[in-house]
Parts: sequence; C-alpha cells; structure tokens
Amino acid sequence: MDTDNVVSINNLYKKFKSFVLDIPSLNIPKGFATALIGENGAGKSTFINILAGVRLDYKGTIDYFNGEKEEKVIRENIGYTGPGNYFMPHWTIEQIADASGLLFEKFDKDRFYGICKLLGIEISGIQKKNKGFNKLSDGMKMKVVLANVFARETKMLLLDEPASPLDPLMRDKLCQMIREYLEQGNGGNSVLFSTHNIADMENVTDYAIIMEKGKIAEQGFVEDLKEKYILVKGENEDADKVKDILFSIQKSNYGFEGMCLAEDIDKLAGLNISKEIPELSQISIAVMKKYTQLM
Amino acid sequence: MKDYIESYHMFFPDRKFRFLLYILYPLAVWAGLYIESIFFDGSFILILSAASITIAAECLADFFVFAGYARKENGRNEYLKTSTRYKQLLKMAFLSDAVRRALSTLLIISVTAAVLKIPFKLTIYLLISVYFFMAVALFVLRFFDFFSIYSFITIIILMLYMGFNIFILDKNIFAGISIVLFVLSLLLIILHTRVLFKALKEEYYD
Repeated sequence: MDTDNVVSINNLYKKFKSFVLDIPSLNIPKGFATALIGENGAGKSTFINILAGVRLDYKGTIDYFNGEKEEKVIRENIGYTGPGNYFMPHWTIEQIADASGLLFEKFDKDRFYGICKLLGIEISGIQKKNKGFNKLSDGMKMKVVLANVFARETKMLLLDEPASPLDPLMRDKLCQMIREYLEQGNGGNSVLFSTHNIADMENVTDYAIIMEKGKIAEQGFVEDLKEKYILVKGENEDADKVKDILFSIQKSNYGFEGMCLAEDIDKLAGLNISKEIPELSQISIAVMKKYTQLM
Repeated sequence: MKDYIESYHMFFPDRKFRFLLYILYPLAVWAGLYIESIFFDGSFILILSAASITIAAECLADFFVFAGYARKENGRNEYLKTSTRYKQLLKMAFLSDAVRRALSTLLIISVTAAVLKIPFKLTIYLLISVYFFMAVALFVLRFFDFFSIYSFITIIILMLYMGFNIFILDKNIFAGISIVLFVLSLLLIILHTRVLFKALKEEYYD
C-alpha cells in the first residue's frame, strides 16, 4: 500500500544504561491507527516519549507532518497520553481543564467535560470536583487522560498503553473513539498506540509495528502481515519435520501450532497440516518469541 | 496579568489553597500577633514575630506549590512537558510567586509596623530582610520534596534570621544593610530562576 507518512524516522538511536533503542528507518503511515507491540522493556514507551517530545536525548532525525519544522506547530498537533506521573497528582478535573486551556491552544473545555460524561467520569458535586487525580482508580485516571487528549484538536495521537487499565467495555469504547478520530480527520489524523492487549485492540489496528529489544522486529499493514504469515496446525508426529521451516512452533498434547512465512508454505507440501489466516495477536506472539528465543 | 495568575494557580494543590494563601494566612498572622500581644508587651518583639511567622509560613506554603522543582526529575509532569508553553507558564508562575510573596510581606509587615508604630527605616529593613531570608530559604528548599526537610530547613533559616537581626540591630547598621539585602535578593531571584530552568531542561534528558 502506498501512503503518506505522518512521521518519518531516520537513524534513531538512544542508549540508556544497558538498553539501546536503535531504529535505522521507520515510517508511520498517515491516516491510520498504528499499534506498537512488544514485550515489557522492548522500548515502546521510550519510543513514544521521544516522539511526544518528553525525551530529547536521542540521536537521529524525526520528521513530523511532511517536514513541519516549527516545534510549536508539531507539539500543538500531537496529543500524548502516558502512564505514571502524567498530570500533576493533586490536580482535580477542573484544574486539568484549566491547565489544558493554558497549555494548548486548541483545547476545548466543553468537549472535555462532554467526553468525561460520556466515559462515566463523575464531574458534578463538590466532592467529585475536588477529587485529586492521584486519588482516582487506574481506570478512571486513564479515562480522564483520554478525555483530555480527545478534547484537543490534533493531527496525531500518541497513546502509551491506553487500554491496559481499562475494562473490556471501555476498551471497546476506546477503539470506537480512535476510529471516530480517524474518520473526523478525513485521512489527516493518525494514531500510534502501544498495547499488550493486542486482541482487544485488533479491530482498530490498521498498521502494526512489533518491537523487540529496542529494534523493529516486524512492521506492516495488518492485512499484509496476514498474507505474509500463515498459521499452521498439525499432528505432533510431523512437528520435527516442520520445525526448521516454521517461523515459530508450539507443541501440545493435541498437536503442534506454528507460524509459517507464506513464502515457505510450499515446503510443507505433502504434510497433513491445516492452514489458517492468523490473528494479529498470533503474529505478534510468534515474532516476539522468535526474537526473544522463547519457544 | 490573567495568564500570570492562572499559571501560578496551575501549581496550587487545590482551590482551597488560594483562600488559605491570600486570605487566611495574613489574617492568621495578625490573629497570632494579637494573642501574643496579650502575653508579651513590646512592639519590637511583636514585629520580629510577624517577620519570623511570615518567613515560616511562606516557606511551608511553598512545599505545596514548588517543592522539588530545583531538582531534576525525569518522570514529573509529562503532560506539561508536551506543551511548548510549559517553560513560559512555569516562568510566569515563578514570577507571580515572587511578586505575591513580596506583596504579602509588604502587607503583613507594613500593616503590623503601622499598628505598632515601628520607625520607617526599621520597617523597610524588616521588609527587605524578610524577603531576602525567604529567597535564601526557597533557594535551598526547592531541592527537596519532603515536608520534614522543609520544616527542618525552615527552622534553621529562622534561627539564622534571628541571629542576623540581633547582630544588625545591635550594630545599628540596618539602613545600609537594607540596600545590600535588596540587591542580593534580586540577584538571588535571578540565580534561582536559572537553577530552576536548568533543572527543567534536564528533565528532558536522562
């Protein structure tokens, strides 16, 4: 698929103690939802922090919005959510709205309260209004963070683990919000989100980037990845015959299951196997296993 | 002006804090002095008490606003760091704080001095010395974000302030020293701002 890019990265390098983030080249497609997948410590948060401008200690070049150079324009058009100390801990909902109005030109306070209401964040009543951000549950914190970022007029959202603290219903709502955001942009809005809940977020994912140990292990449009990989299932007696051909393999009492590159599928001819189109989560796990050597 | 005040309020723990800082704190100082005047006779003791309470109150109040801001801390205020206005807003907040402290000091000390009929030159000295010792205290305090450390350093500063007063007033050189302290206060505010912004810049780096 030939697309424009919202972010183009060249020779991105960051070293932190024993961890190295090393991305020679990466393009994030414009107008799509891109999932950043990887195990803990793969470098997803560091990567998103760099893109969001929270970290500036890196080497390499990052080109935003087709060569936009002005920092103010870039930052105004990026909405970032992150875990940890995101807002000041004592901030109440009202203070968050006031501060966001000061920090960003295109923050819509009414829209923020509207999304809060939509997400079930209680904002009425003195007690609710005066409740500090640090006193909210993890799920509620994330809802406030999301309401805040969706209340801004942006061109790109960088969401670091937005789904993790949310319940399944709210994850579904998040997918819907992401989809609406992309539709509202008419191809001009893009989303990059990191996630461990690949299955829950798969229905909103257009493009996937799989990171391992600070490097890009795999990337591509989900449809292309589903053509690149084939899920293969067979009897255990054939497992030894296919283990060198398969990208990854897992054995159980019921037989083996493995991921095969489509280009290698002919090598399995003659064996009693079934072929299936894999889910993104299955591709991601296979890639991660391959790179971490966990079998 | 509105932006300065709103930026400053952004760092307040909550809305109640505005009432505490702007209204209750000066009233509490005067109420405390009134109670003290029942037990102690002497305007000099009372004005020195007002000066000491002002320093202590400002130092402790700062804990709830800018504690730890002179120290690099990577994980702090990620949301603020994504905005290009963060530095500007923080600068406006620091300046608003410095001005608000000056006005609070002016109000508390001058009204108390007027009521107690303190000589003008001594009042000026007290105003400037209080502001200077506050500036010194905050320069040190903002490296920490533990209330116990804030309290401990505040006590040390108060002891130094009292010792300094005894020395200066004994030598009767408070007119000359006022000018020196005024200049030093300004220099300290500039240096302090630089330290705070250096820490802020470092927060973007490991």
